[in-house]
Amino acid sequence: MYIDPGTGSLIIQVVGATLVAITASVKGLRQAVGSLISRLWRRER
Amino acid sequence: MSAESVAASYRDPSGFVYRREGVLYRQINHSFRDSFDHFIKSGLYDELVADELLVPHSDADRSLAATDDAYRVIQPRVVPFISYPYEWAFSQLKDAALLTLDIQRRALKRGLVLRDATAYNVQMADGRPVFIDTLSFGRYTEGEPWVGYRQFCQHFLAPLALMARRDVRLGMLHAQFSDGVPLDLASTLLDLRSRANLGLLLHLHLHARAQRKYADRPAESAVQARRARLERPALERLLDHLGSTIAGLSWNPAGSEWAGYEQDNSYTERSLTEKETLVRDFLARVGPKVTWDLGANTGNFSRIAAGLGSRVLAVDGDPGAVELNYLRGKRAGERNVIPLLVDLLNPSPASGWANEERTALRDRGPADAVLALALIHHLTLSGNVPLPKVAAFFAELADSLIIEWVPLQDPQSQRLVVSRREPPHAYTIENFEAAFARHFETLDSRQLEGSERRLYLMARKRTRA
Repeated sequence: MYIDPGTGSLIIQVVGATLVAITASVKGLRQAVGSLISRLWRRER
Repeated sequence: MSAESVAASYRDPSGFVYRREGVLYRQINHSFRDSFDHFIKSGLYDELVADELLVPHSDADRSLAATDDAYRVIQPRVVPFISYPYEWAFSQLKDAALLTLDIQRRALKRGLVLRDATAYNVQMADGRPVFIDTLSFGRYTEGEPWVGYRQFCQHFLAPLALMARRDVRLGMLHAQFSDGVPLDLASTLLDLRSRANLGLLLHLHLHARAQRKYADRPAESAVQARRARLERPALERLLDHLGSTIAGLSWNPAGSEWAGYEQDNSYTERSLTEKETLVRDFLARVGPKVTWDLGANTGNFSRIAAGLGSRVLAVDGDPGAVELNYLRGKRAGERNVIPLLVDLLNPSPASGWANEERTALRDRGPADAVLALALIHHLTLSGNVPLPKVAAFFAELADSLIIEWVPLQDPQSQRLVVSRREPPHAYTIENFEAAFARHFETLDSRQLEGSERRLYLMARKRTRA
């Protein structure tokens, strides 16, 4: 049965998906930077 | 041969469930033809049934339809016992939530979507949750947000978050709110630290705020909101995020009242072994197909009944005991025991529209046998339910009764009466036997060695008193 999705519940999904994507990107960026730093550190030593 | 509608199945215009001569059928109406055919042809039905996530059905003759607008009639496999989310332990509700999300993800991959996400679409069968609503699947429209998101958060996320982070007893809110726990209420009840959890912040707190914000907006803004687009990869990421939020919620029943009972009771090892042997012997004499183990604790005696081939409903009022019972069965891959959280002093009533949607516990029987071991003193000494009323209630539930008499001088009884000003009157073995003799015939009774406790095997009298 199709239920009332609720206006606020539709909007928050779009906002939420953006937030989740940003969080994932920031996490990915942090990991990439972390791995780059550790590679440079190993090379230096 | 007339069709008898099932009281809980009336909301969905796509079809409904009914009985004909005791056989359960589901009618699929013409209006749902396209979606149902797509669901079957997409392969999703076969996939879900093969993985035991959805109850299977067989095709039935269309002449068995209940009304003229039937497109098809199917005969679903019957779930042996219907239970409700407010009767589930924390992990049962959590597994039901993860099952719903799993099905939604699989549906999406095949161009379908769950049109609703109520916890009542899930039942406990074969030791785990299974989806029962074959008509919940509709075609997915590219770019559409999930129509069931609100309901999923209300039926699963909100009660689980409250149980995990506040108090496990808040799962009972499910009984009060038929469409799940309102998010604004959950948001108010949750602690401030829950806002530091991104999943709870987004899917619960901000979700509640968005609901409030748009609740009184004019219809145009609702129309605009329905144009909101969410591409499939973004929706999939959102579902994954919701899944990891649910998976991250946990509850440890260590401090629960009865969860340690089996390690901390008044039996000697010998008398416990003797009790197990006697219960097994009594059960074997009755040979019940369905047993209700009332006051089951973590299910030791339920498993004796299950081992003899009985399907067992293991009822207890302690959330910790039911949680441990469920996890124990899940780990062992058991299929015959359904743990259920019910306070026997206040068993689940009939509820929902016209008090017909959800059936009272008593009316979901009868069982073939009731086990009432180490229970009578709780009902009578703690609950103040007189012995004749206990006997009358048990006589409504089953033909056979295996019951343990726990005398007043037993340490477990003494714990219950120690702070009483007046000694409980009428709690004697003579009164117990007289009360039960009105409804039952005693077939056998044995005193447990090294104890004043006594075990009875009783059969209900044909003519009730």
